[in-house]
Amino acid sequence: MISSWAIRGHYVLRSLLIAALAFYIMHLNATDSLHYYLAPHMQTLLLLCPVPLLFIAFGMLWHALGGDTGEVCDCEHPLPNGFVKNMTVYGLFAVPLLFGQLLPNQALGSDMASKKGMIYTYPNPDVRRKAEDQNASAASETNNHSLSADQSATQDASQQELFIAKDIYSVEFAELAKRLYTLSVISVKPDIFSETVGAIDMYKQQFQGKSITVQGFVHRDKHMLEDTFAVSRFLVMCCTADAIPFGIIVRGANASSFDNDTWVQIDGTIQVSTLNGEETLQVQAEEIQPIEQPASPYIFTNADSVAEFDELYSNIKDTGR
Amino acid sequence: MKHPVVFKMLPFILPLVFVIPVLTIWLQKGSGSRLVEILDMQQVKTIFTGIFLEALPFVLLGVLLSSLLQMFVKEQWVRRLIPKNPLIGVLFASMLGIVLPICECGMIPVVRRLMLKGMPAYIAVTFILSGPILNPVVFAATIMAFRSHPEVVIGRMGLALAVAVTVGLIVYVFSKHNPLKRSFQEFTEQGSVNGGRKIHEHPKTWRSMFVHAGDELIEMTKYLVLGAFLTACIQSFIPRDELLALGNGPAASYLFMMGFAFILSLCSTSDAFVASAFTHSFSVGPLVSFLVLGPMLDFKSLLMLSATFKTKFVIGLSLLVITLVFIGSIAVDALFRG
Repeated sequence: MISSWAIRGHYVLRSLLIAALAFYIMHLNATDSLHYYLAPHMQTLLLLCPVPLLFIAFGMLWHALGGDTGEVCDCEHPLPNGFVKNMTVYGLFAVPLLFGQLLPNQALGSDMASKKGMIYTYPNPDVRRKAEDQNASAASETNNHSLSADQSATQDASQQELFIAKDIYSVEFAELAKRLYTLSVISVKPDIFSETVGAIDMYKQQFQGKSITVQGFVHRDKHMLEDTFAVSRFLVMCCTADAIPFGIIVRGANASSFDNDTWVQIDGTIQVSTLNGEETLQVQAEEIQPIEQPASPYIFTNADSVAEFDELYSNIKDTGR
Repeated sequence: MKHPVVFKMLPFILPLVFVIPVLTIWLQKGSGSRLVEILDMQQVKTIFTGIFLEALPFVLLGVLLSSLLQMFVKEQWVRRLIPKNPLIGVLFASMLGIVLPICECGMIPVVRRLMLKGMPAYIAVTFILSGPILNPVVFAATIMAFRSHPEVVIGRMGLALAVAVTVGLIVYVFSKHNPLKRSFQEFTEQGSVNGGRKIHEHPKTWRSMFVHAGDELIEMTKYLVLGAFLTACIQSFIPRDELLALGNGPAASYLFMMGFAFILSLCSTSDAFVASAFTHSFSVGPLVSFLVLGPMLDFKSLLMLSATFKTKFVIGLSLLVITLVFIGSIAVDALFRG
């Protein structure tokens, strides 16, 4: 049995470690760094943690300092004894804190993208191709849906036919594609990055020749030509462990002058080329210019990209007309 | 070293085996410029912190829930609620996830507490295995990721149920001993004498609840950190292409996807999206094996399990789950192809 003083010492240490963890989370939040690690909905969950953590830390400290000798004991949770055991318990708990102290917060980059394997099409495209023949009924449903949509008045009949959803799950992309098509220059907004590129990718034939503006970091695969790179973002579902590198192939005369991991803005036109025997979206760049790394380097999925689009562009339209 | 000590250290030694391939690949890269080294540690940090912060709310929820159970739930209630018939009991346990949708990190402290309150081991095991998959949140996420591949969704849910129920029944038949690391007496029967140590009644106050939660938090975090760290190392040192090359061949693709699920240690709500990136490379079977094995068994949950259960029990359980998922996903593949 460990002496009462040693036990009190353990509890002081534990409460300090837990409090430190709570402060680390608050510090990450205060310096706006949580988005380096978590998707927005997970950040909300994490921010619920510091208060109970501090309660626990406070309870433990009180227990250590103010508890009766009889109460302060190690009978329910045996405390570690000996140097090695102490190190494994408290040392491991301190690892995230040490990491946080020693290394700066940094986003995943091109090197990680090649380890994870860059993806050039919106995930599961083969699903869509199979669904093409099956869902005639879904298509008619889409037409009804789009007629009720507020934009339908401004869209002509040919455009309706251009973007028919291939199944009920593509309705969102079809709707988004219709809206994107009306823009003179498609600017890929970070809030709906993956959905925008997914929608364009789904109807790439129709979008050929349209102007596009997109921002991301430079990434090159080994087999890429001199004048080619991928303008890339990491798509994060929950946390950095499930980040998927997501890119569009860019060709441009001065493409070779940009190093990997440089953040760039591309102005160009949408084209379709073949990569590994598959039709792939490609941007022919007219201008590539370096930019600052955006405040939030990753992109996240959006629950309703069409609503987000309407919100993003409603201001512009109101002032424009 | 005596044998029991070796067994106690096993959960810490075992994961080190996985560091070997990491080190070999790292060394092959050439002794490496200092720059590359720093870059890699930076990636480890980014991924490690991501996993750690993602799991923390769930672990915290788990330990708080466990402490509340400790304070308010009486043993008699638990005993009365559990059905007497083992088959009905196991089915009941596999449906618990629908009302208690917590993922595997939060699950383990809660289950341990329930076991100490008298929940039988086979019910607990069934709940641990099925809970992270058979719940509404994961169901919705899987449908989203495999939009027009309903067979993957059905396969995942069905296989998870089958594996959890089978393992539960096997545990019922074969495991007569208490598989927890520490015995019931040590925890619950506080009036008895234990190893000559004087045992006393603990007052059930709010302060003791927080102290309790804190103790469990420290205990669970230890394993979470270790699991997250190893996962981060593997993700940032081994390129996916090299792993993917291992997955060629019919049986190898199953083993590869299962191994991949194990080392990725993803949360069960997000793993479907990662799996959907593999729809090109693999058929339904390996995808389902990834989606079922991952939530049941991965680096962090294995380490957290070994904090709770006896090492022998954890090893037996892991082997059983791996075998059943392997056979089951082959069956699923055959079912949807044929």
